[in-house]
Parts: sequence; C-alpha cells; structure tokens
Amino acid sequence: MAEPIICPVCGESNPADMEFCKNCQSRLLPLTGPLKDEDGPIHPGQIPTKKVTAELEPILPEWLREARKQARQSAEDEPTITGGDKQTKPLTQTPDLLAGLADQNKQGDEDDETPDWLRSITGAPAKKKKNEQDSSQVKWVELGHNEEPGKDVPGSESAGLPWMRGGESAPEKDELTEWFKQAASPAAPSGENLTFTKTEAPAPVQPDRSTPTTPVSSAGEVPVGTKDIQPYERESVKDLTGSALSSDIEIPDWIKKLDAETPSAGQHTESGKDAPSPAFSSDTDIADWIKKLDSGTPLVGQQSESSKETSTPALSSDKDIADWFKKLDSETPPPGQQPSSSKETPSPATMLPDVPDWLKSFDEAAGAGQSGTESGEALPDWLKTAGPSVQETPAGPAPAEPAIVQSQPIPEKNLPLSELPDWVSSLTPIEPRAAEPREPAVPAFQMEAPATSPAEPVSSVSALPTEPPAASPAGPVPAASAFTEIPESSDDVDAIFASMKIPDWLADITPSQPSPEEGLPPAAQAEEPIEPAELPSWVQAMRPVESAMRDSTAGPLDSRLEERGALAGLQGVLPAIPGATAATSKPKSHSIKLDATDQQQAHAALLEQILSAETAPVPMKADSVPRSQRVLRWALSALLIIILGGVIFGKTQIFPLPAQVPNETIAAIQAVEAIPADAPVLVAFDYEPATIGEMEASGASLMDHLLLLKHPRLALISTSPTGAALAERFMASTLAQRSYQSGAQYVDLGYLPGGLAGVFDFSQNPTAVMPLSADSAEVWNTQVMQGVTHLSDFAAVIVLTDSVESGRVWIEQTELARGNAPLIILSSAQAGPMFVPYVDSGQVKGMIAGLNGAAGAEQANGGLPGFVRRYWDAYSLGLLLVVVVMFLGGLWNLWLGIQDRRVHEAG
Amino acid sequence: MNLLGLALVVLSAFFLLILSLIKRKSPPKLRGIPALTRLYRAVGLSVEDGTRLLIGLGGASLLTQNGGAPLAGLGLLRHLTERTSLSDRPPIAAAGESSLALLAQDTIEAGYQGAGAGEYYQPTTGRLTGMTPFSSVAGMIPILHDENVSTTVLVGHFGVEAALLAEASERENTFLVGSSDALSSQAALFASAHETLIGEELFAASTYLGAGPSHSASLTVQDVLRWIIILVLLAGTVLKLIGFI
Amino acid sequence: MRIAALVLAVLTGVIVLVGYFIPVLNPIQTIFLTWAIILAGTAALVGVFNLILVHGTKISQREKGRIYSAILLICLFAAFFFGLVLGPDHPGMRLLVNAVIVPVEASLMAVLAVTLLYASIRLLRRRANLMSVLFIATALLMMIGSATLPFGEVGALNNFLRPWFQHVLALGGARGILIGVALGTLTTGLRVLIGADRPYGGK
Repeated sequence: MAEPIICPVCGESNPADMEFCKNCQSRLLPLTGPLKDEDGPIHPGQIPTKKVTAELEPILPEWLREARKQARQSAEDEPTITGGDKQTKPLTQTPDLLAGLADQNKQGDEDDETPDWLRSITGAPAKKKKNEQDSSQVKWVELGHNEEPGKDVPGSESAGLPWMRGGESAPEKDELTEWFKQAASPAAPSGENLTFTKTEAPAPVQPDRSTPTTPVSSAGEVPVGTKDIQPYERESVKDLTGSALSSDIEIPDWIKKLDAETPSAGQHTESGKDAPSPAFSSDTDIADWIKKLDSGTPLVGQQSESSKETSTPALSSDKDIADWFKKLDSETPPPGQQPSSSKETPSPATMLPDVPDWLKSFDEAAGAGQSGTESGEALPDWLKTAGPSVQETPAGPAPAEPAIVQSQPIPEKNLPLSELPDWVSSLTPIEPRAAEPREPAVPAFQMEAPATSPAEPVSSVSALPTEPPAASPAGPVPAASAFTEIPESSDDVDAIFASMKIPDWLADITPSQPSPEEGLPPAAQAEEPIEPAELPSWVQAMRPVESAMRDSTAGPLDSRLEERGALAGLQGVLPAIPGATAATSKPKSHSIKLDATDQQQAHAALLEQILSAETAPVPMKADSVPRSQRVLRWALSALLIIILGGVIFGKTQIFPLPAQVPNETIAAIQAVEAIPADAPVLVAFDYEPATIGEMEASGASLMDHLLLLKHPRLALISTSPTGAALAERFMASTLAQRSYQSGAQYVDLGYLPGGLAGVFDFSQNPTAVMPLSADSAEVWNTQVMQGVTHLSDFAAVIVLTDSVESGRVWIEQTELARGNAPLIILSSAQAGPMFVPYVDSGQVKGMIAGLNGAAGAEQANGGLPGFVRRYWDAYSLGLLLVVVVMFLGGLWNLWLGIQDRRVHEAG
Repeated sequence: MNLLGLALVVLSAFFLLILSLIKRKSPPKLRGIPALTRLYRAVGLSVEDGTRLLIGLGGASLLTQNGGAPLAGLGLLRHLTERTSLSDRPPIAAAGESSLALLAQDTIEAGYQGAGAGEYYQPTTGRLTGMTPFSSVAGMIPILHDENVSTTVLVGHFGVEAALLAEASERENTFLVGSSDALSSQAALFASAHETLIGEELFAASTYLGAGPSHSASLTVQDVLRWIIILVLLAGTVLKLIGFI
Repeated sequence: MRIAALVLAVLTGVIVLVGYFIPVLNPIQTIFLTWAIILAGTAALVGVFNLILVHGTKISQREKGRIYSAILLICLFAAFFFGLVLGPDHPGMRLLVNAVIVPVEASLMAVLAVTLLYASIRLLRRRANLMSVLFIATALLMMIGSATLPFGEVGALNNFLRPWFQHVLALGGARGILIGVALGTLTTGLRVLIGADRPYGGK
C-alpha cells in the first residue's frame, strides 16, 4: 500500500495507511475485508466481497472510459447536485466506474431517471427520480429497505423496489464481477439481459413461482427499474466508498493478473476475487460480452453465478447497458411490446419479436413452452430461450408480490435475495422447489456454491436466484447469465473466459451442461439437491444480518467464510479458531457418564444428604412447659387454710413472741417517744391493699403507741391511688381505739401523684402541691395543720410501706426538706432488710419491719393493740408448715426431676 | 456530693454518646443469657403459631425511681412489636399504671409503623389492666386465658405478685420470661417463672433482641460504671479497715 | 412534630436532672415537676378510659369473658358515680374499699402464698441445680429463723443466723443487684434524655 489513497469523496490524496480522508474524513478503505479464499470458487451463499473494480479501469472499453471521463467532468462542473440530495454529491464525484455511470445517468436523466434508451425501449414515461435515500441507506444491503413495503412505493414502483432490492442486496460488484468473469463466455447477451432487466423487468420483487406473473406490472412501470437504479446506484456507490470508488483510480493488480494470466476454469473465481468492484467488472464484462455479441455467442449457463451476484447488476450496468443497448435498441421491441402484462404468457419469441437472432436461437433451444413468464417478456429472447423453465418461473413479479414483500418484511439481506428482479428469477429454472422457502436473508451471491450440484436448479429462484442451474443454458435470468461464469459448454466462449478460472463445480458442470438447444428444465437437471436451497426459511432468517458480516470482515481473524450449514456463505460469523479451520472430522465423542471414584461418589452422596437435610422440614419442638398440678395446689391450699384458719379462729397462743427486740425497732420506739405532744406528724400510707394484713399489724403497735402517748395531729398522705382509702381504714379500724376523727385530729391529704417527683415536689412545697384534702377541703388553714407550711414543720414523718422503692423515695426525696424531723419506717417483712442501711446511716431514725419488728413494739406498748399476738401463732405455724412442705415436696420433686432427666436422656 | 453525682451523670451521658457512635460500626459482643435466648426463640414460635405475645410492663410510674424498668420494657416492647406486628394475633402490652399504658399504646403504634404495618395497629393492644400491682396482674390473667397467648414477657417493675402471673402462665401452658427491678419479684419469679432475668439483665433484654447501638452502648456504660463502683467500694473498704476514714 | 417532642422532652429532662444538683434551677424544676404531677393525675383518668375502651370492645365484639368485662364496667361506673357524689370519706365509699378492694387483694396475696409454696416445691424439678438448692435452703432458713417454736426460740437461729444471713448475705447480694438496677436505670434514662429512645411517639 505504498500508493496513496485518493479519497472517493473529495479526491484528496491520502497516505496509504489512512483509513479516513484527512480532508473530509470519509472512509478511504472499505469496511469489507479482502476477498476470502481467493483461490477457491465462489459458492452460492458466499459472503460478498467487495472488489476494487477501479483496477479494471484500464481494461475498460473505450466507450466506457469515455463515459466515465464524461461523468467526472460533469461532476466537476456540478459540484453540487440538484435535487436536494446531498448524498449524491460524493457519488457523482467518486472516481469510479459507478460514479461515471451515475453521472452518466444524471446527465442523461438527472431529472428523468429513465434514460432515453430505456424510454425508447419501454415507452414508459420518464420515471420520477426516486427520493433520495437517507444516510442510513448508504449501506448497500440496506438499500433494500428503501423499497421496503413500508416505504409504500406505488404501483410498479413498488414492484421495482424489490427488484432493486434484489439487485441492491446482492453486491453489485460481485455480480458484476461474475458478469465480468463471464465476459469471456458466450454470456455476452447477458449484458443485454442486464439491460433488459433494468429496463423491462423492473418490478419483480420475488418471482412467485406458484403464480406466474408478469415481471413488469405494466409497461409504464418498466422504468421503475431504471428509476430504482438511480438511488441504488448512488447508495451502493456510497457504500463502496473505499473499495470500488477509490480503487477506481488505483489500478489493481488483479486486473493485471487478469490480463496476464488466464485462469483455469477452476480458478476463474479469482477474477471475482480480484474484481472487487462489481460495477467495474460489469463494465469490463460488458465489453467482453459485447464482443460476444459480436460473435453471436449466446450466453448459456453462468446465470446462476451472475444471479448469485446480481445484487446490483442494473446499477453498474445501467450506463453501460445504455451504450450497448443502443446497439440493441434497433433490435429491441417497441415499448408497447414489452412484456408487462401478467396475463400474457407468450413465448419469448412472441413476446419479444425484436429479439436478436441469437436470442431467438436460445428461445428455440429452450422451448417455447417455457416462456410463460412475464419476465420472459422482459427478457431478451436469448434469455427466454435460455431459460428452460421460463414458463414455470414467474420471473415477473406479480402485482401482488410487492404486497407480499410488504407483508413479509425481510431483513436487509433477505431482500435482495427474495426480491430479485424477475429477469433474474426468471433465469432460474422452475422446479417444484421453486416454492420452497427462500433464503432471503442471504444474498444470492452469498449462497454457497452448488458445487455438488451445479446443474441443479437451485431452489427457488427467489431464494437462490444466484443459483440458477449453471448447466442450464437457458437460464431464464438474463442478467444472471450475464454475471455468471460461462460454462465451458458454451461453444462461443471467449478466449478470456476460457482462460479465466472457473470454479470446480462449474468446471465439473460444464461438460454436462446441455447445450442451449438441449435446455432442459432445471428440475430435470437437478439431480442433487443443493444444500443451501434446502434450508428452511426460518433457518435462513436466522442467518446474520449484514452488519454482522461487515463486522466480521473487519478483522482478519474473523474473516473465515462459512461454507457449511446454515451459515454457509457468511463470513466471520463464527469466531475463527486457529487450527480449527479444517476441522472437518467429527468431534470426538465423550461419554456422558461421570467417571467418579468411590470417594467422589461418597462425597456426592454426603452432599446430597446434607442438601436433603437442609430442605427437609424439621418440626420445631416447642419448649416444654411443665404442666401444672392442680391437685397439689389444691392440697396445699387446703392444708394452709385448714390449719391456719383453725389456729386463727381458735385464738391459740402456743407460739411465744420473740424475746429479742430488733435494734431498729427500739430506735423507732425511741423516735416516736421523742415526738412532741400534739405535734403535727405526716404519715404516708404507701402500701397496697394486698399487704394490708401485714402492714396494719406491723404499724398498729407503733402508731397506737404514738397516739396514745403524744396525741399528735396527723396529716395522712399516700402515693398510691388506694392509699387514701387504706389510710382511712387504718384510722377507722386499726386505731379505732384512739377515736381519731378526720378534720379534728387528722386530715387526709389524699393521693399524691407523681411518685418520686410528686414526693420531691411535695417536700419542697407541700401546701402548693396538696392544697386540698381528699374530700376537697382546705386543710392547711385548719387547726390540724396549723403552723405547718413546710415539710420541716412536721414533728416527724412516718412512712408505712410494703415496698423498698416507696420507702426509699420518702427517705431520699424528703431528706433536705425534712430538716430535723425524724423519719420512721414501718415496713413489711420483705422490705425491712433493705431499710436497715438507712437506719444504720441515720437517715431513718427507726424502723419496724413485719411482725417480728412489731412484736417488740407491741411489747413496748403494753401489748396494744394486740394484733401481733393475735396472728403470731398462725404466723409461726404457717412458716413451719411451709418449711416442712417445701422440704419434703422439694425432695420429692427433685427425685421426679432426676427421673425425668433419665427418661429424657434414655429417650 | 451533688457535683460528684452530676459529674457521674454527665460522664455517663458522654460515654453513652461516644459508644453509641462506635457501636454503630460493629455488632455488639454479648455474653449468652439463656432467658433471652429462649425468649428470642419463643417470640419466633409465637409468630409462626399465630399465637399472641403478652408483654407486662408492671405498675411503676415513669415519674418514680422505678421508671427505668418500664422504660426498658417499652424499648423491648418496641422491638417485639416490630417483629410480631405481622402475626395473626398482634402482641398485647399490659400496664399497671395509666401513663405507662398510654406510652405502651404509643410504642406499639410506633412499632407497627416501623414494621410498615401501621394500618394494623389496634389501640386496644395497649391496656391498663389495673391501678394496683395485684389488680394489674389479676387483669392480665384473663388475657392469658382468653386470647391465645403463647409467650408472656414481664419487663418492668413488679412485686411478688408476678408469681401469680407465672402460675397462671404455667396453667395456660405458655412460656413466661420474668424480670423486674424489685428484689422480691425476682425471688418470686426465680421460683415460679420459666426464665428469669436477674438484676440488670432486665435492661439488656432489648439489646439482645436486636435493638440499636445505643442499647449496646448503654450496657458498656453500665459495665464501666460498675467497675468504677467496685473500685470505689474496695477502696472505701480498705480505707475503712485501715482507719483512714 | 416528633422533633418538637424530642426537643421538649430532652430539655425538660435536662433541666429537672440538673435541678437536683444545681439549686439555682430548683424553681424551674419545681414547675416542671408540678406539671408532671398534674399530667400524671390526668393520665390516671385517661388510663381509666383505656380500661373502659378495652372492655367495651370486648363486650361489643362478644369476645370471651365479656360477662366479666360488663361487670367490671358496671362496678367502675358505679364507684365513680358514688365517689363523686358522696366523696371518698363517705362510709359507703369506705365500705366499698373494705368490702371489695381489700379482701380481693388480700386474697390474691393469700393465693400468692400458696403459689410461691407450690413454685418452690416444683423448683427442684424444673431447675435442679445448685442455685435452686441454695434458693430453697435460704428460704427455709429464713422462715425457720423468723418463726418461733411452741417451746420457745432457737436462739442461735433466730438471733444470730437469720439476722446474719438477712443483713449480710442477702442484703449484700441485694445491694449488688440494686446497684446494677440503678445503673441500668441511669443509662436507660440517659438514653431517653439524649433522644436515643423515644417512647413518646416512637422513632
């Protein structure tokens, strides 16, 4: 690549290693990779390889070179293209053969796409120039979408779109290359065919084999082909930016090779490889086959090849055809005679009265009965004659076909295949397999070469229009015959074609190819099925789209061409594995049985066991709760009630009172005795009704002692909601002997809410916190509370409590506010021990805890009021009874517990 | 002396804040408490069984010095409510004090909302069962009997009357975990309840059941303060023995 | 709203707490405590309404034990009515307390005695461990030491062993437990004070 690359867009010379133009940033190199498998034949379904057709320029015929030159000049004169198509500008400037063609087209019918020569043929009015394609249509494969049903091209125009698709989808270069390959063959008429197809067989979207239809819906629609050619041409050229266009200037080596070497029949595909630009090749082909025309050698066979690559036969050949067609112009039938009606199924001879003689000879050889198709009408006679199954081949797109195409949107790549022009499809011999699912996803030229059955009428024409029976001299596809290589059976093979490499399958076929006179129906010729044609449609639809193909061609590693299976013809679809390219042998079979050792199996079994254990539901065992023994409870209750009730009601005095008086009791008595007479004393009743028995018995002796000795004025208060009522009860029942009356000797302040905070607040300001008595009367102004405004004004604070907490509240929260007033605790037996430290510390002056403490106080009070003594027998007996029951019962239950554990452990 | 007490409180608050931030990053390391382990399991079982959870909060007012235990009970109630809010039978909180009953209602509602099931909250699940300790416990016994309770949790200030509830739970064949800040209650529950939390374990219940980092931080602060007190007591004893004080 | 409640609670708690240590804040502390007392009294009334709601719902939904709920509500309304009309010092109200409340709760205490006895007996079957044995042994010792025998006191037991166990071992252990409870109360209160726990409105 030492030579600079000329930008196809702006013409700027760029270094060889540049991918994009340094001036306009256009792509210089084609996206496609080099031609794969150069030495191998091109098979049907094979991926299209773009070829540098510009290299063929030196060998272009003079008229073509002139045309190209003219196109360049016109492009220079018209830097901008009218019509509002901006994309056409670079196309016209592309120094490629196609550019020249396009330019020529433009010159001829820039506004009127239909060239004069075509109009003269078809008689159709000049087609309106097709709308410019958007940028997305640059890709040549996507061109088919332009004519997609959704585009809604009216009438024959729509019919022409599929046709164009067929031409578009198939890389024109390949097609032309093939065509060029056939230049040496008697396929010279293919050029004519090409012309015809463009002009007269515009619409055939997909030749419906089942319904023979005219290739052209109407005569007026014939130009559709030419109309469609225009955009197709532009865009295909655009798509070929780097390859065909730029290579136009560069003279490729392969052309030189072509000149120098004469490939063998089996190698004739090299020409295809080396002819990157189909357009260019078509030019050369035209020149060649024109020569053939001169020699009058009809083109036989090869149609399959050409049709395979007829992605853009019309494009490139459009201009070219115009020239040579002019020659034929005189021979071509008048426009009115162009076969356009589906009703007409005339024989090629009748349809084309102006068919050249050599075509007529084809016709005659092919048999008149085979010319029922409309495409046959559009085709030159030589093609009609060459197409042995023209009758069966509804080469012409039925009017409904476009609709079919519309209703069945086909991938981009499919379109070219399935919607090949009638002239292409008509080439394909009609067979029963014509109705088989086509392979629209793959351009015909991509289809794998029917090497095994070259003569077979490969599938349906639509599916594999590129595979018309190569051996079929009467290939109904004129264009195909033009593009396909010329079988050796052709007697008029040009020396060039004779020297060109011919695929093996072609080489094998040629001897067996029937002569034009022996044109047999493809079905008859097809002895071996062609694999690609047998692919079901859904498999074909799964074939990668072009984008994948392009990507695949980008890298050298992905450039493998699939030759087998459903991906046949595609390139780079599957990743190339080094060393695996020739992996034709069957893969080594492996046993599906696991060769596991015993240890592994043991581990697997263990794992399985673990997993099954995890998934298996395990019932959760609830915590065992010992059942209650009602009988035992009732027995204990009965025992206590009976024994203690008997003792209480018997008023026994068997058990003596404790002789030793606790120190805290003595301190309490001393503190009470230290209270001044008739002094205000605050008494807090903080016990619950449940402990009233113990509390009244515990506090009665000391309170009685106080009332008896000092006659204090009492202020009752409680931090318990029920305390006020209990206080009233205490005064009214327990101390009934002292005849204290509410409001006279004592006041009931009631319930002090707030707990600790309430006690603290009361200690800070008692008159404000408890302004009223329990019966909502003023208490602080009464005689009972006379002189009392603060807590310290009380002579003593006595707390009757059954809980440690309430006693601590009074101890701690009133400590500061109490002043010198002593605090005496009268508590239950359970709370007494917790107050001992307070007594020891002096915070509590004295304490009487339970009956044990009250016993000493009662003894000090002369046995009054006598509650302790009254309950003491029952109390002592009850304690002893409980001790015995607990001991015995405890031992019994301990044994039972041991038994339970043994049973549990055993179980 | 007052300043010493204030310093102790401020120091504790400072430790609590710091440790709450630290504990946020790592899960707490807790020693095992069998009672709480069984409680955790029993709560799950109650949800699976579709039975009810009864939480007793005791009868102490928050305004008393025993207010700490009801607060701990409310914290535990919050988490238990969140965990069992979607049960067929929502948990019931029983209180023996009016303000505590109101707070229990609020806590249960917050637990439902925290679980995203606020619409299932029923105000009657927070109940005042009695105005006195015994009456409140007596009011809880019918709940055990009538409302398909499978697990009972006593967290708060209870007296010896808690033994009545333990006995009732045993009769109803329900699991009971008892705790109280009262010594008499702890003694009674030790003998009668299936599991008992002794002393400060009451305040660790919510932490063990997955409360936030502040709960675990408070446990750490308790340990720190406990060690300080131990050292002070030992020092005072030694000084007393040597006649220094 | 919750933020306002949080700020209010924290500020109030801090002021009341600090007021115990700083006398300057005593007036404000007293005000807050007075409010707390009023709110606590009101809460008692609200609690009664809660009681009415619970049992009323039980009756309306015909739940199990609705008869007792109906009796409870009837008694509640009756006591409330007569308490308002007659006053708490009325002999009728005293009778209500002495004839209903005191006997019921005293009965519960009596049942508790049986229950504790029964539980103590079953303790060794439920948890036969050293702690249970010590628990039972201590209980037996204290009960024996609290009672007197028909023939008199057991001097060593009543005058030495029981007081020693009660004031040394039991009280020492109880002190330790209560210190732990106090610490728990402190930290729990601090959690509420700093807003980590919010039983008022939840999180």
